[in-house]
Amino acid sequence: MASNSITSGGLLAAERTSLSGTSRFIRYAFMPNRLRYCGGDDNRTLFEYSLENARDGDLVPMLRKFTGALPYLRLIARANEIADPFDERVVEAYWIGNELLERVEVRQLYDALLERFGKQLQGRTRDWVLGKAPAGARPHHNFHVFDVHSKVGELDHTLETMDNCRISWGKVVGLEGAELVVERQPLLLSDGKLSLGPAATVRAVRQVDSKGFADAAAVGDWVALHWDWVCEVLTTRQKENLARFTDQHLTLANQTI
Amino acid sequence: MCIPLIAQVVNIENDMAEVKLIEGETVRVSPALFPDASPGQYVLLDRGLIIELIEPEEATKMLEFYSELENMWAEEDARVGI
Repeated sequence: MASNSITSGGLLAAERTSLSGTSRFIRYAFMPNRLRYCGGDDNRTLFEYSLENARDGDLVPMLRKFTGALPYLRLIARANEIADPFDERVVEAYWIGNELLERVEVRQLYDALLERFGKQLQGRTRDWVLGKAPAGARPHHNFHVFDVHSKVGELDHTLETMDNCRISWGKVVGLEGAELVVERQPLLLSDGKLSLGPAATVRAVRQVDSKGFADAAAVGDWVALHWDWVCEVLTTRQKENLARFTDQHLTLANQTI
Repeated sequence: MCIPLIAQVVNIENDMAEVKLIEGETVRVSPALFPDASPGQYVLLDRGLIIELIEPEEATKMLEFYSELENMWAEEDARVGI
């Protein structure tokens, strides 16, 4: 029987043996890549790698094209003395959130890049690619989402994009072939501040060509969602971590909006 | 850290912009934040949105920076053996 002990990275031992870091990375990156928002044009190949839970020498160069995520994965790995930025604990920390984030702040990345490239990058260009990291911001995907869009302004135009782009969670209430029916809290803008509203029923895609990453999802399960795509079934620990880090970064974003 | 994509506007029609990514691929994005963007202009993209209009010189500088970052990280990966 699998142990329920917590490892140093905060993952349950039973979970650590089930999914490679690269597979988990693709589960979350799959849909924005399919929409051509990030990464290279290797979508179908990446999908197959993740379904097979495989990793080889051809995969990592494809993953390096995800230039938005990679700096954060490297930062998390380095701060936790983990060599591989695609280690499953690191990947989980970035997309969902876990204890690895307690040891690192985004500011460390900004400071390091500013020290190395500050003279080369000036003014508006520097603001775009380096920006500023508020104290307490962690290298979590949802920080990246809320931070970029707080720079853009005009939140009413970007609210839907932010809501799709953040990793959210939903409770499965129905199974309908390639789709799941889930109850999910939408992102709202009220009096100029962001918050999560009451849960509403939405549909999310879980399979392409009858295959996906949550084929065994059942009513009552929690699932992670990204661009209306079901990334995976979440454990209670993962769902709680995702909610906690989302709330933390919404609070930070609201300080600067 | 943002790393927006750099692209050049090809065409704008029916509230959507066709833009050419630096790698050569053409994609459709929303110009809702910059409805006055026009063909030929360089833009920054983030998840299907034009988030800034930039000068060609700025695009060049950003590409140089991205290239240096890639080299730096490739060296780092080689050092740890991935």
